[in-house]
Amino acid sequence: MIVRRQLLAAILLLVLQSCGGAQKPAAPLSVEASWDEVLERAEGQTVYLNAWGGDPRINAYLRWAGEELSERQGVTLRHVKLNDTAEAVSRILSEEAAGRTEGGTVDLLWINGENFAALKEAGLLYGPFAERLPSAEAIDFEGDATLRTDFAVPTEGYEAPWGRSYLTFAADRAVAAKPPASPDELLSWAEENEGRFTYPAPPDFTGTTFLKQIVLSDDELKPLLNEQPTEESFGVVWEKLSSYLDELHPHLWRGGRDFPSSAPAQRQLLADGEVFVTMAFNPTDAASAVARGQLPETVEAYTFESGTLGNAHFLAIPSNAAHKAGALAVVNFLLSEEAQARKADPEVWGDSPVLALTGAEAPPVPAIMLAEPHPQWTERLEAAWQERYRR
Amino acid sequence: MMPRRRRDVQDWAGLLGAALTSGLAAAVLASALLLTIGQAVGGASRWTGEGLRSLLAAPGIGRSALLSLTTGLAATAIAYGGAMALAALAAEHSAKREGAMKLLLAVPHTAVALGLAFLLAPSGLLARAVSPFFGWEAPPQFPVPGDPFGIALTLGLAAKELPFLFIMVLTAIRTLPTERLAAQTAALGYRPLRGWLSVQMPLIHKQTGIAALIALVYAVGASEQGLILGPTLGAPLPVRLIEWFTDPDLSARSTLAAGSLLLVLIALAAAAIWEAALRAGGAIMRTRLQTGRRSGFGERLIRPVRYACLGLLVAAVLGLLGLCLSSFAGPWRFPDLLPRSLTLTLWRQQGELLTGPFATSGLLAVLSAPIATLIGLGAGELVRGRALLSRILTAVLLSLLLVPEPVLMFGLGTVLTLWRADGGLMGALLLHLVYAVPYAFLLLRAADAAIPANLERAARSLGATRRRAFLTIRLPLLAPAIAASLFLTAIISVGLYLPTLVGGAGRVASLTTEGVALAAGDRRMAGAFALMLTSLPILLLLLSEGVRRAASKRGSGHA
Repeated sequence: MIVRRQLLAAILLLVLQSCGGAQKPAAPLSVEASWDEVLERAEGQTVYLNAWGGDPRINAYLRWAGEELSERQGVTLRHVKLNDTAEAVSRILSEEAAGRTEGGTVDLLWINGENFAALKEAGLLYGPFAERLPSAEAIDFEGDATLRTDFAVPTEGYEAPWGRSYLTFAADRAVAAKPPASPDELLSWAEENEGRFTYPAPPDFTGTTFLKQIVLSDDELKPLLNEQPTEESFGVVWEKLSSYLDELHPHLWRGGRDFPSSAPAQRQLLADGEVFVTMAFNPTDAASAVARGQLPETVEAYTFESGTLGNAHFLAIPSNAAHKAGALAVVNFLLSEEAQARKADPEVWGDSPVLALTGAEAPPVPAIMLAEPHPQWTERLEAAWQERYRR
Repeated sequence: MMPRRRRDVQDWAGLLGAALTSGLAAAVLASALLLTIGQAVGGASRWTGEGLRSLLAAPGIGRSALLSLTTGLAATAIAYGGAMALAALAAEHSAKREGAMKLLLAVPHTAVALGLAFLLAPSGLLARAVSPFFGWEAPPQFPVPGDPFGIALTLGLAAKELPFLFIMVLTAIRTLPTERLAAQTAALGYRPLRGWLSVQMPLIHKQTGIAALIALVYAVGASEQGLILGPTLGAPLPVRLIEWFTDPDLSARSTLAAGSLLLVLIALAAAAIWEAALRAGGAIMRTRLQTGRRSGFGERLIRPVRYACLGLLVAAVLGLLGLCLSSFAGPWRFPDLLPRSLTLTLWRQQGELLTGPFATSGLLAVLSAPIATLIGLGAGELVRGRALLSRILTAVLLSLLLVPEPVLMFGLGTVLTLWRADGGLMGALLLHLVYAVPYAFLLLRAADAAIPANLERAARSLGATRRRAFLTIRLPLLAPAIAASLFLTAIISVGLYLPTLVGGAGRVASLTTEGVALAAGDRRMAGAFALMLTSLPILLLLLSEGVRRAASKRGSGHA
């Protein structure tokens, strides 16, 4: 009976949703609007948050946020689960190409790096809004440069920092007692453990991050990545990186002729024992998979000794978003100390907060954090990798 | 005078309706293709060739294109040959087998692919089963699934096409006087299988040749199976298209469009090779028949092919069962053949993630199946007896199915965005109908064509009106086909991934879209979605069986 009633309710909801598509015409929300006006307009809006949906913990956290928001501010939060943020970016771009300058289908977007750079450059973001939010008062924008730059691109208030993360490896200690923690160690380890290491195929972002991690672990190459790539600097970096990869690949899973499609896919390979090491752009990814029973208890997380690549991730509102006021209310809630503390709880998500938490348990932070290079490095490394290894 | 004038009115209404249906379908197709061509060759007014250039420069594009061509052809050859071989022997145990086939047909591609991957992988069920004999403690290293030759992908596609083609073949057989044909060939001295091969198979192929061609084009354009069973590097072409579709760089759009055109060419090439091979086969068979020999090589192949196909189907089912079991599994690591313990943790924790998508998929199926069947039936009636119109409508609807799925979907996605009709259940439903309507129409038309014309003629000459002749003669005879159409369109709807994704702008969370998003990283989650994806069509199957029973009861009441 209960199941039937739930199904009925779900069906009704869907029907209503599909009927209620038409928006009442209203003046566009000014960037200067007062917070009271924002809240007034936000009430009753349904905000479509486009965010990667590959982690059940993150999905559960967003569901909690949705419940709180609907109770406190009358805003309905819907999580549009993406495989890749680029899907939403390309949607926004094609809406723009179709002349849809308002009433867009994406209200809020979880974003950073090249995706942000692309939208900002195309002028398709609403703002500046980040530092006008009431919650932003508790965020130390002046003191922490990583909150105002995204892969070396200034955010200028067109996205609000939501959290921070860094590249973390995880190894099954039962079969890999001393997993590789530097590029050189990796090479010799891979030779000893034929076929038991791999990385997600770029342009998957974890795979590209792994490439950047290898480059940044090289003291000679590291300074070059602070600047935009030139033909010369990219040539130097790529020559060294590709000769390293040429040496490494024959010892990888499937002889380096194929790669897993994503970090979660590689995590499943670790769970199956096909590889002994995995990686994720989230320090608590492995621990949470152990807690869920996906990975054996012998799996432990670690980072490269010479420092690990870290970055902040953000929330942005497309300029054609249909529910900007609602989106602002959502961002403001997600940046509140309460929401940030819950997000930082390793049991919940384990994502580092963007503001100082009082008394809450925060996830561990690595000793040495390496900054993201300019997004053009990402693009060029992805292109060059595919050019060489995808033939 | 009266009846005659009424028929004139009906004729005009029929003509108009048929023209409208054809025109609408043609417009859908043309707009998708024109937009694609436009994007492929460059800007609005000038030829830049940007898209074609970047397509040709894309790393490994030749490998991707070739893989789509070969896997599509191989999978369809296996599936069509297998469907015929199974049908040749179906007289012995057809009813049971058809039920099992319908179940397997009902399982969406995504679930079959995930199940097969779990069976074939180095850490999969097969390797676990043999690990004691080889002393494997860690999984062996062989590159399946995702092998560069697309063997796993071919098997996955064949496992899904086989039930489809088998059911199409059985539907065709029902329209044939099989016992008479068998008796006649036996009287002429042919062994049963030889007689079946020589006379019945060509007659069946006349009706199912189209279905085989559709399966071929589907296989060439398959995206979900390609994602799961194909290689990551050198992925099949449709997977490359999805990559360009999701690329934030706008210039990738023209690459996508050029790639779509390439996929159209690949599909055309595959169809040409397929038809040429079938014709050559037919010619050989005719020459053989003319020699008067009563036995041959063909019938000796039937049994091995049948066993191979049954093996493939068993493998698909085993993989699927294993996958579903994994959603209840505690630790289940290599080389354990069975989980160490069973638990409901996943279902308790993630259960609510599953009910919404389940309801959405069910709703889309329950809406699109009757709509598509009604349109298919109506369109069929409108063009009935009008050879030219019928041929035009068939050609137009067929061409919707003979354009690879990604090409049509990415093209229509642009159209929906222009109309602002995407982003809701409505958009998804519209794109589902693009597939459901042609299938319904073709299935019903094939069944209708097989109804002896003299039955209706007799009824009419006895004074029945056209409507009455339809209701009392043809509708009951069409009832099995109508039930089949409801079932087929419903399960097609449940399995659709790209149309849901594109038409719903990612907001319509169905079992396939959520399944693909969540399943990649956790086999137990994949198992949960596979179980839901399997159980929904089974519910629909029971529903359509109910409809079929009711309809045939009614039909026999009239007879």
